[in-house]
Amino acid sequence: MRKINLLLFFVCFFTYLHAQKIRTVVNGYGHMNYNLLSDLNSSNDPTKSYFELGEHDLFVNSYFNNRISFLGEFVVRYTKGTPTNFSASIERARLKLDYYKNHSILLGKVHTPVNYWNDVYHHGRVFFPTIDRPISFSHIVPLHNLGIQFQGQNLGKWNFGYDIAIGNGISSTDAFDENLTPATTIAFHIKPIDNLRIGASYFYDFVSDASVKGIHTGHTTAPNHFHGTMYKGALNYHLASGSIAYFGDRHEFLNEFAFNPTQTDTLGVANNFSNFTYYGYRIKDKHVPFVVVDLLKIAENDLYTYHYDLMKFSLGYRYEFNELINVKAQVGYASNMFRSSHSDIKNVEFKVQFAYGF
Amino acid sequence: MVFRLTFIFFIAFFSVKLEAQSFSNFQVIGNNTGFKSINESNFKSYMKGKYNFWDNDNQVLIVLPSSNHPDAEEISKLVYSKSHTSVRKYWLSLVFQGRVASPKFCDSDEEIIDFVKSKKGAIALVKRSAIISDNLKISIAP
Repeated sequence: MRKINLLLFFVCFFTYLHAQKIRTVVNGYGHMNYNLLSDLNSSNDPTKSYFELGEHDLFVNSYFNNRISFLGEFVVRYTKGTPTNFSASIERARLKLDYYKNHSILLGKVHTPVNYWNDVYHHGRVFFPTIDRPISFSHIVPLHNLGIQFQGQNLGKWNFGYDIAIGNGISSTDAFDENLTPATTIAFHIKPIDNLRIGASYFYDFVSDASVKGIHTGHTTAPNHFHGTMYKGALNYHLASGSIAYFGDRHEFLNEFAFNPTQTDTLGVANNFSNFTYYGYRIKDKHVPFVVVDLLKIAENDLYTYHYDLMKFSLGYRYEFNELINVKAQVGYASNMFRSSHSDIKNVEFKVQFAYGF
Repeated sequence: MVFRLTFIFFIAFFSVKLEAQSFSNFQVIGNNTGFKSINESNFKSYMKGKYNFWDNDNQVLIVLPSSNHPDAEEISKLVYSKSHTSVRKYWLSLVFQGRVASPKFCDSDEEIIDFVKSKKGAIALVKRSAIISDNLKISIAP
């Protein structure tokens, strides 16, 4: 009887969808990597070579009517320690109401619009100009926001856009936040000419227990460069970001700057910062050689990400077969530029990535 | 002599360029967009997905030639100043960001015209020689 009821429910539901003429578009994105990594500081097995099955992403867009839509991004990725060694996650699930001209309200889980990369690329590696995301994404960038967002875009002569987001903070999960204070993001951008976007943002969150790492930061557990006892006190987390992105017919340029002061009663204000710069030059439509300089510095007295610094230079090449598939190859050298006492890094890497969408 | 040849080449180059970027071969069509004439700059802005709604509150539905359409490359250059592959990438990226509704891609002018006829707010560009009813025609001012 229950099975018949369930069947009836699905028949009614899909009949309803058909009657409402809901338009749904489904896309998939994925990538595969080859990595050759060498730790110049290690004497035992310094070099590793391996293939890597990357994230696979189911992307769904549904339009309920002219004004209300749903967007979902569901990712399956390799995760060590799970029964199948894979895990699935909801990376985006949001309802959007276009309530007036180019102004919208979004409800659900989105990528926090703190900078260009997080707002534009998400999990679609086929859109990435490089193989890796900026280093700051694994440490200081609040990747997701679960809550409500007010958005405007392409307003006026300068194509002004704004995003105001309030939601579960960086120590929260997708179903729970441990304190009363929501995380707040205020971001704006302008697009004065085609292909150019200049933006800035400010993010604030209050974390009542800094040892709790939620799922909305770049790291879901303790940062792996720190092996001491985690600070359990309260922490104020600020992040000011600036982005300049130009992706023209020939020249491609992206700069992401972030200043991240964290404040505790114990050690005061720790000033962290990161900067990512990418430049690519397109030759004959499909070939893009590029260069990347990426750095991150976490202050000695930081009690959330913990003292760390890394600088990475990369040279790469991207070949775009078409808009749905590309291959990138990249050589990089990473070291701790400020000679931090907590980390001694000197790595050389060679990576190849196939990224695709369908 | 060299100057004269350079001058002729310059004029010829510009003539070709002007011809290649002219709307004279194409007709803008739209269904209940709320106007019968639009200037070129505004038309391009709408076709780039900058606006969600027309002034009459109908949703902007952009209709574009697919890769199988014979004029795909020419229309892409004309409206977006990009190759057709770059235009498809542009839209794929915008839709992935969640900022705009995905456009409709059609294989022929007939398919484009049928779609525009059936959807309020739809807008497209077709060959001027295509058979179009007057109520869909939108004139374009330079």
